[in-house]
Amino acid sequence: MMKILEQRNFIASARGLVFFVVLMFCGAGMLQAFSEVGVPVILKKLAAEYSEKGFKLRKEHWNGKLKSGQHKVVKHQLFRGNEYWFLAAIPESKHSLAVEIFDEAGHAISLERFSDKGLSGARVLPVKTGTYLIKLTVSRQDAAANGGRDLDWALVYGYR
Amino acid sequence: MNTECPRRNYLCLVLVLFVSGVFQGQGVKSLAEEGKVAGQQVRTVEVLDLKKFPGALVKQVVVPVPGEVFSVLDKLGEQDWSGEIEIPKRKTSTDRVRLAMAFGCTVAEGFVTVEAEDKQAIQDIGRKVLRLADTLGLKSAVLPHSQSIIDSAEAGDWNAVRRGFDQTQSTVKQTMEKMRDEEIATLVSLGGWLRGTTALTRLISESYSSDRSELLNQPDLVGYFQEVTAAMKPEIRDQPDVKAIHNGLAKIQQIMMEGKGEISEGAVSAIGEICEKLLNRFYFDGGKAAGS
Repeated sequence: MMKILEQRNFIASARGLVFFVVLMFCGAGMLQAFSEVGVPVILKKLAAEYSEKGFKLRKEHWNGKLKSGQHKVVKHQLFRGNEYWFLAAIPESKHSLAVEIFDEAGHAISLERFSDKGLSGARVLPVKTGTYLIKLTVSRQDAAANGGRDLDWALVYGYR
Repeated sequence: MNTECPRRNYLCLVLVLFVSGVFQGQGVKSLAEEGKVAGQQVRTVEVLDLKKFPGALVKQVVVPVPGEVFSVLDKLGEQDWSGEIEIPKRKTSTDRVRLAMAFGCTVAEGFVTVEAEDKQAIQDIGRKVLRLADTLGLKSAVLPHSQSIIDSAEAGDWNAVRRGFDQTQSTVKQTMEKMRDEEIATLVSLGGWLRGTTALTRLISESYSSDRSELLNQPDLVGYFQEVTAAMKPEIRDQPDVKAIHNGLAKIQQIMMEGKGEISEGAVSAIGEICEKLLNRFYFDGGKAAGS
């Protein structure tokens, strides 16, 4: 009887393992596709609208992971005389994203900002050439949403 | 039996994560379908205190592309860039470190030739970019951009040529990063920065103004290059050119910081001399042809 139970446990474990491995592969594939393609695709679409307004968009993007309620700050060299739009996205409509730009002294200097679900942007005309800080903040709109999970973020910018 | 409960819980957790991944994917789709600039304007007065969330600062400083500097210079009026073009004739090195830095320099040279609107020089640079990419093993990735540069130069479409050089550099950097060769990708940026800064200092020195010299106020960016070169693996970090660049960057940063945002005429010359001396090691013909 014990042997039968052990055998069943073994079979159940093996099935579980196969199921787990399949899930891991499917899940990993989706997440990879999502983080490498999904976020930039949204941003590229949004950024294309700014390109039509004469902004030259960098072909690269910056990304990482962020939990709800957390901030991420990216240091950036900006030049006086240029106008910049920083655009960021997270793939989660239940969370809101905010982009703000600060000077070296920590003062917010964005001239214009928007925030819509997982998309956000900020415009700046630097008053002097130097280092600036681009802050991304993710917050939860829905209390029931999962706040402990890492969210992929991506940032692009254009200048003119 | 006790061992099965955690396993079931774990499987449930994996399932939940998987399902949430699916929903994440749907979230992406719906946002992508919307893909519009939302109308909600946000205006707040905020002061950032990094001490309150010290772990959140991304160490990396975003390195600007040469186009950002040229965009400002364009607004400052006509500049004569023709004297700044210097296409070295030295033989291409086979050392990956030198090759990466020379690649960055050549792309920056490309931006200078665009500013000078010199069709022949642009085409020469386009071909040189392709040769260097070939030696780096990236010919197929760079070929379309190189061809586009040559064709656009022939048509006199300078914006398209600039785009071509921008795409060339970002393609090479991204390909390097995908190959987990981030340090080589950084050296591409560093080479481009050194060549671009040399050209910029020469141009500013010809007709000095504080508006122009302010473009050189980049101490944090220089500090970032210092940090990354110091953190490179020993076989790269200890390469004599990289060591010299690391030390040169320390001097450049000190000069930039002395004026507290103001870069004097003397400081512009001093920065230019350091950059030129460093480029003589592996790029300009004025230096020894080591590694060739």
